[in-house]
Amino acid sequence: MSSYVLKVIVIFVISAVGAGIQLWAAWPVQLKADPEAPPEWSPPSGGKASGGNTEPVGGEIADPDPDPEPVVQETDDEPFVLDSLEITLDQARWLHERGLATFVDARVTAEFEEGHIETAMNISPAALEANSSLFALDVIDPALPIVIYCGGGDCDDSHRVAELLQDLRGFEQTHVFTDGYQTWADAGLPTSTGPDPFAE
Amino acid sequence: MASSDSMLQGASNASKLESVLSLLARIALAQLFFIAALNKITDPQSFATAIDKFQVPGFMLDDDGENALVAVAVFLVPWLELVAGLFLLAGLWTRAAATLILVLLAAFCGAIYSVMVRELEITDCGCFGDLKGFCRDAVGSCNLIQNGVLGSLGLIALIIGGGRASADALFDPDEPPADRADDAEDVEFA
Repeated sequence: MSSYVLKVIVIFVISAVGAGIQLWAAWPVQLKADPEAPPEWSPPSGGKASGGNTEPVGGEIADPDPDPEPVVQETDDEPFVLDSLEITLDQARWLHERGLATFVDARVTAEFEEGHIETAMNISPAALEANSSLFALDVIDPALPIVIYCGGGDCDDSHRVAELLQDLRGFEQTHVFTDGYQTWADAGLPTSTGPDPFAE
Repeated sequence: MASSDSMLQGASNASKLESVLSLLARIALAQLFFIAALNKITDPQSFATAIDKFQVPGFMLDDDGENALVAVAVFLVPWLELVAGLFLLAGLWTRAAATLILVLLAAFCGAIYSVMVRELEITDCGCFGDLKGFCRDAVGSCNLIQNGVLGSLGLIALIIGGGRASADALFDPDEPPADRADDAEDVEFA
């Protein structure tokens, strides 16, 4: 065997020893295909809240657990179950980052155009009550949860839109991001300005 | 550029130009491979995720995150990059280290090309761990060009050897080039 090949082998062996030591130190190794994707879902044990959604948020459904515990979002990147009408900023952000929900801005058009959550569409309670053929409603994917927000604080338009979407339009997976647009913008999360492309 | 005959000299017989060229190529290559290796060694999960996204048959994680080939690649490849990079930087067994680097680059190019052929949309090649490297768009021709440039540096080290400013010049001055190694019976193993 030539010295050249021997040198290649020696360098390879040194590398393998280093890799082996690291592997030994890290054992048992748990590698995930994509740690950001929620791989499993456990259904909540309690009843479903009004307007709640017990479908998994992304990922595949694991085998049913006979005595399941609700998965609660503890950290930013943990999966969670949408089992309540109102959701938090972290949950809204989680859904938005992954494109797993339709965002609806319930404020008036002028406020929407000044600034809104990126990709959100504008559906105010007045528009919903007045117009039975809103174009925006046709593009909403009923399989995805709908996250509705308004200005935050005492604003009640988001709850009103959630009710109307459920009662009049049959959308079941409606959730209200109660902290509203101002909290979203203050957190430095993605926003846009300008008119709603889905407005008729 | 030096003649091809002069390129086939041992490390201590390289010209000044060849020695400088080799030194620059070795430093640049070693530095990039250090960065790539350390990022992968400190975050094997990111590298495993990157490998899985390439969807190369045999190198895909199952639902339990188990795949022996992926585990071997996740831990072995960064150490190969690190150790070969160290040898290159020192100029010790330069041609052997450069050979390993070129083999790694060829494997990376193969994986990237297969992604392009299958039209997969991979935003991060994982080449430099969490760092984006030079190519910030989806994995594609930019990554091939990047690896081609790195491969050129590796070829310089392979052809010229370590040059005068290398450990080879001190410990293995008559090291023959790769293509003549099999004929060189009198070369001592350093």
